Amino acid sequence: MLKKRIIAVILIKDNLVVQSENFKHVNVIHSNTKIAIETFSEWSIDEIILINVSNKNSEKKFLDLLNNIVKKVFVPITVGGWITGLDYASELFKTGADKISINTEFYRNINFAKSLSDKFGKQSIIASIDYKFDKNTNIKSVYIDRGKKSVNLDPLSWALKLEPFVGEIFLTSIDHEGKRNGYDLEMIRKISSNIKIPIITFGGVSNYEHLYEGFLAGASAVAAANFFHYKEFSTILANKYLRNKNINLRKIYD
Amino acid sequence: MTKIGIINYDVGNLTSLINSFLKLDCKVEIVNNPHEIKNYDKLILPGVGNFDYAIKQFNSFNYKSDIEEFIYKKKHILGICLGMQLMCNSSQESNIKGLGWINAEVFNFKNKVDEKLILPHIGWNSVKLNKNIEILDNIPENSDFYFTHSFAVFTNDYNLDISTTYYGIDFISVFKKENIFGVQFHPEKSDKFGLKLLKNFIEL
Repeated sequence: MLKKRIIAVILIKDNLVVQSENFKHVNVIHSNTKIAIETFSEWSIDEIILINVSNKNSEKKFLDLLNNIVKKVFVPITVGGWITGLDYASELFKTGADKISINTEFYRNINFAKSLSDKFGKQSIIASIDYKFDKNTNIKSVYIDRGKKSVNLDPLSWALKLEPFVGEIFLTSIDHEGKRNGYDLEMIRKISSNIKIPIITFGGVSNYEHLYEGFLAGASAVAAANFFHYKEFSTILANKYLRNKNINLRKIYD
Repeated sequence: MTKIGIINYDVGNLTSLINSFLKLDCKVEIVNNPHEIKNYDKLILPGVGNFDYAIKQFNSFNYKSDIEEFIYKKKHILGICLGMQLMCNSSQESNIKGLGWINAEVFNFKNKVDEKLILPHIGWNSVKLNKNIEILDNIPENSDFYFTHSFAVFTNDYNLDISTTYYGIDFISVFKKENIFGVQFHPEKSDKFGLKLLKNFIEL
């Protein structure tokens, strides 16, 4: 049977692994990105998502870093951040990415999602949806430009528009992110009950129970960043905890 | 030391596969020309994407007869993902015939399973083992491997050694015919048991 997944998110700014709270990246968690990513691979994580949160014009630097850090990673890798063209996407795949995750550029040009799917296969394209409560409109709205700009759009309507062109949705509540109070379960329920493709949920995990809640709400994959970095064998322990609660995850061995 | 050749026909990227063999301390090179094939002990036939495009690409490189010579000499070859599918008789994804080394056909999942099933089939799924297939040695029953595909291999040939995986229906996730092996999943992305499978292949 197809398994549910646990995903480690690694945010990279200027070649360092950083901690994030409400999309502000300040603390450096790890100065050696290579060791951070290899550790997760060694701890039998199901997948890794690497996001380039450096400022613009960091594409080349990120590609060089990716080339350097993926050599000993033997699980699927998704990369995101500043992907705006087919050529750069192609470079990322050649360097070892299995999937790419995109937010802002899909909003600007939804045909880009179609071009990518046609060229690389829908299974390798992830739509990243960041959203938060917008005080001006009193709704939870999709945000682009790394959480800076509201586009006054309901996350579910946006997910439905993207669904024909992408393999998965990477759903992040900016309000929950870094706050340690668990996922936005209401939104996971709302989106997962209305679309067919898998949802990866991200933002707010500080214990294993939060991961469990994410699955119960309808996520196919649960993701965390800060939480997984701070505890030894975190992802192995998460797998055990969740399998004990009858979540259908792959069996891993120490 | 075993020398592995990975067949390049410009379909998909080979970086992860190369990294896997390097991790296993194995000598590995990319094959770009059919005349180089005889220089290797073992071959990998990789591939991702569309069967029609891939078989055209493969044929344009003129690999077929040199690889058949390699197989005739009882050397081992492993097809991965679309590479496995190319080894079969035919695919619903193309009017062009497959390589015909394995008596099996490639079907679109859509035509085999309930339409509610999410496609492509992406993620970790378990493989029911078959003890006759040596590349699965010392891998626990029902271990999970990483899949990403919309088409899958089926056969009516009871002589073919197969292992299966369930996704709406049992499909062939591993096959073996003498010295020819194929896997539908990506061993290079399947964590420790994926590497174990590649190691078993190297040590055949």
